[in-house]
Amino acid sequence: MQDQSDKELLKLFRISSSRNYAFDMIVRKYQERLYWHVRKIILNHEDTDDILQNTFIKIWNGLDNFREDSHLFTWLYKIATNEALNFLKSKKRRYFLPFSDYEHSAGRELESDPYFNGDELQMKLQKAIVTLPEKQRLVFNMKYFDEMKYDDMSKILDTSVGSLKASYHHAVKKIEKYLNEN
Amino acid sequence: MIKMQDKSKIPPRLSEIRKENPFSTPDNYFDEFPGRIRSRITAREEESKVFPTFEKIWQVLRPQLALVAIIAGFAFLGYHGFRFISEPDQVDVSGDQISEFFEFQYYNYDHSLLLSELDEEDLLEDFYQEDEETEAYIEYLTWDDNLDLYAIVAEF
Repeated sequence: MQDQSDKELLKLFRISSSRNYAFDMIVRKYQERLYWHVRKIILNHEDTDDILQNTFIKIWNGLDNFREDSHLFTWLYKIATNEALNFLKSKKRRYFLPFSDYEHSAGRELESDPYFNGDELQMKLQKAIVTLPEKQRLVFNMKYFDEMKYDDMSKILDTSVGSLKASYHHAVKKIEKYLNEN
Repeated sequence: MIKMQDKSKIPPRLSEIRKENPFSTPDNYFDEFPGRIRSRITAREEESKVFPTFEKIWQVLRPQLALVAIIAGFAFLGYHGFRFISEPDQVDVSGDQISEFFEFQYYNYDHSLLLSELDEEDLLEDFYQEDEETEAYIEYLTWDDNLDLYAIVAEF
């Protein structure tokens, strides 16, 4: 049903008179899922907002060339994930941050973030997640919070299901270790 | 008391942490977001109408330039192909002209000029040097007993 609906939206997007309407519907349909996906990677609202805007601009520019080989939501997630990872890379380059400094600064930012409403343990969990390598962080968030199927994750991240399962297992172990030690 | 202390040291485990989303957004963020995206796209489109980007210009010109290149290629090949078939490179030379050429070359040939050229390039010097060395060998071999004719005969 959802696929059918995406197909209808794509069909409407390709008609110039309904293009804006269809895009508006796509934004409304996927903005929250993409926002939370990016927010869990970036943590801070302002940066997430910038990334989400850039993601939808890219979607607008590329939607004509979307060939429907994959689901629309897979394609959207892929763009949002790449945008978020590129943002993190450029942020580390801009401030010459090694990974350990990035962990600390992200943790400090989270403590003063007015849009973080979690308790102490949830804060600790987020700090533990920040210590993970990017790939494990993505996999952990998508599996643990979004409860996404490995097959869908595999399409979004272009990684085999086996490798994703291993990444998730390592991520959980590291998080448990961090929670035990801190 | 000891039990209390022990309990407080139990590390928090992942399963004990609430799974709810701990983040929030400013009020009405998701209601306003589609409008913000729409205005950004409209602004970009207006901008690109005023200043067409190189990419857009290239997209318009590319098929036309490709057509011009194909036509020019065919014209080049056609012209040279036609010339090759219709006007092969043939030079008509009569027997008299050939004999005239050789006579001219013969009269221009100068032995002394050739020797002076060789001399300039030190080629003759090597030649004379070699000759002097040969003479020295002959002189050595013919000196009294240095030349053993029997040995040479036995060798060959």
